[in-house]
Amino acid sequence: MRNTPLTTLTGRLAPLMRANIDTDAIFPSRSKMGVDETDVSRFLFREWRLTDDGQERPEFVLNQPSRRNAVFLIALDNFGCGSSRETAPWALRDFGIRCIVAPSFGSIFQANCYRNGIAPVVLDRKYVETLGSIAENDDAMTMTLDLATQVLATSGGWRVSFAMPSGAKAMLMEGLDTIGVTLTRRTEIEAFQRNDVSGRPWVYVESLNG
Amino acid sequence: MTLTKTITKPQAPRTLHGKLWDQHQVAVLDDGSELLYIDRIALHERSGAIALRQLAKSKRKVFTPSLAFGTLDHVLDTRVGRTDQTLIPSGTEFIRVFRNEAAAAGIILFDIDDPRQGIAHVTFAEQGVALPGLTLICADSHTGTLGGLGAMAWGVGISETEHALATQTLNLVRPKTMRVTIDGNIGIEASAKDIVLKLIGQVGVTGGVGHMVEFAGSAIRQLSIEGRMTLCNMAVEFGAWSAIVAPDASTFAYIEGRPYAPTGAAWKTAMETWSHLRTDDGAVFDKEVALDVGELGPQVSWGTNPGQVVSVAGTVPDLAAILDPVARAAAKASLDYMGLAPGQPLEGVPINAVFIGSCTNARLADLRSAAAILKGRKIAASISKAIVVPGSSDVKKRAEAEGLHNIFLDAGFEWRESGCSLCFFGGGEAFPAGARVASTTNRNFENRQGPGIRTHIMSPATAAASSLAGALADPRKVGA
Repeated sequence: MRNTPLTTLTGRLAPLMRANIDTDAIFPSRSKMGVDETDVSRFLFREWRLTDDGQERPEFVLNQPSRRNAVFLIALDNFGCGSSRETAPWALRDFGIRCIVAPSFGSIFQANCYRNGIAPVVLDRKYVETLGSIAENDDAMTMTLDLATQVLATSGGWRVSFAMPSGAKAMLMEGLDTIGVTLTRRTEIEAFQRNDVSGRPWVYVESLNG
Repeated sequence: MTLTKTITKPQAPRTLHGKLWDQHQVAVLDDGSELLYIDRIALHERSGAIALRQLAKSKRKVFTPSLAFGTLDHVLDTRVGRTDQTLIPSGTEFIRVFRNEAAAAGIILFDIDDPRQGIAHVTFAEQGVALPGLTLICADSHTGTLGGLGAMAWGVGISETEHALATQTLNLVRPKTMRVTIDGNIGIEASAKDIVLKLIGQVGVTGGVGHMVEFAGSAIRQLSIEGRMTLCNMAVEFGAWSAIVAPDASTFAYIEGRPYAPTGAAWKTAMETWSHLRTDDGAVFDKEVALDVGELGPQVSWGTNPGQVVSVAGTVPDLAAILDPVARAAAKASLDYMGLAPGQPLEGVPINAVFIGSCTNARLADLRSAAAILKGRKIAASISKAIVVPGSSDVKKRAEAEGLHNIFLDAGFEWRESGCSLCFFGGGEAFPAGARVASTTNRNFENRQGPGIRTHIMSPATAAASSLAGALADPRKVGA
């Protein structure tokens, strides 16, 4: 997990105006990653960002000098669809992306973002397209995310507010250790389980096997 | 004494999903989300190794080790004679870390030589690990497969897996509900794969985003449990959070006698409880979709997402006919990648390779369906790689008992050990450079089966027919 707190964020934008960017594209299955690796940014968008022999493709947005330190990624519908691999948000996070703006997200990817300090911001497609086109035309533009007020504002004066579930927002803003928070309810969970063992004995393999 | 919970106060009609959420609710949290009890945590070596390692590093313990189950599928080789050494780089490390961490945590693992080894979503059904009404998660997007048995099963990330391992719960916002009603008599010409491809083509790849889907209708009742699993497997491909089919007599017949299924009195109680697992009359869904499959024939994908599908007898669509500009731009990019042109017939497009396998289509019925087409025939000389990868070691054993392996081998296919194999390219074994593949898998994404590889997804029968023709082919035209 990479869930350090995210409250405000200011920086450059990388517009990648495609729909259905899947997690195979974000983090290819062939990435030679070790179990304990803590920086997987080099695998990010491997096939799009680099050639087969590892040279940067200059046309790819994150290789452009003004965009390589982008903290915002702007994309079209269904960003992060496909495989559940959490290495996809890890690679984005390790590369420096802390906020993704899109009309919709793959549900597992979106849940993974909240636990890894990345804000997945959903906006109507028309706003995403506007933002993408502003960003494409002005590579020096910056944007600020204010999670508390749920507003995105560009240096050029374009502003938009967005919705986000309150639990997810808190997870991002506080960088919570969600396991620790849930374990404060251990007694409640144990009581549920004790009651459940008699109500649904077939769930409990060990008790069935003696 | 009855073991089932009785509800005393009258309630509004509920969906099946609604009932399962209510039943598993440990607490409602301040932010309105729910702490949901998780009955089964399925693990595989690719994500499970990291989840278990992270948990161990944080000095936390698995809440109930007997409710977690592991298998090897993602990076494990499928070559005959396989060992821990994998063609996929770093695969060996994942297998060994997973094995060691699972043992340290007291979690059962269907290891490399275990007859229960298999693709998670295949073997956990066969072994009775997945049962109706259970909440089941796995760090794998195709976990919804097990909804075919009436389980509430969904894919999660590594952090959520770790959370579930440590707490037996997940905190979640309840997704919206969607019912997909599929009616019509399924002919022998269409399989569950054809149905789900047709559906994704109709609703689009975002048609189910944010929703948990219940499949209903006369066609669903006719489908075998294996077919229902194929259907639920691909719900994630239209963005669904999970998918389920209410259990019925077919479900109970499938489950009875499986190793982890209840027996004796517990079986009777369980069945009684499971028979109530259905949507109440009058329950309201947030979204309803209907599909008639009465006239449905074989389907095949032409693009790089699973919604870009037509009948195998059809043509690549005219881009101008795609009204949504984003979908049109996506279609244009897809055709560039796939090397196809608008209006081009799919039938007859030359292929170089065939893959029959994956959590979508590697159960016994799938292999039987492909073998029925291949029996006594040879694949085209132009096919440079053709492999069959059974979904589990048990599927492999049963297929061999029927002699299916000989049909595949005689036709020119390789007959493999069980695993995920070339459903995705892991950096090891590869299709020939630039290959166009007839594949029974679930994803035709760019580079999914290897850099530059062009994937057409289809049913096992269509893949088999295509292997004979050396080109995309209609299985209805292969004579008996």
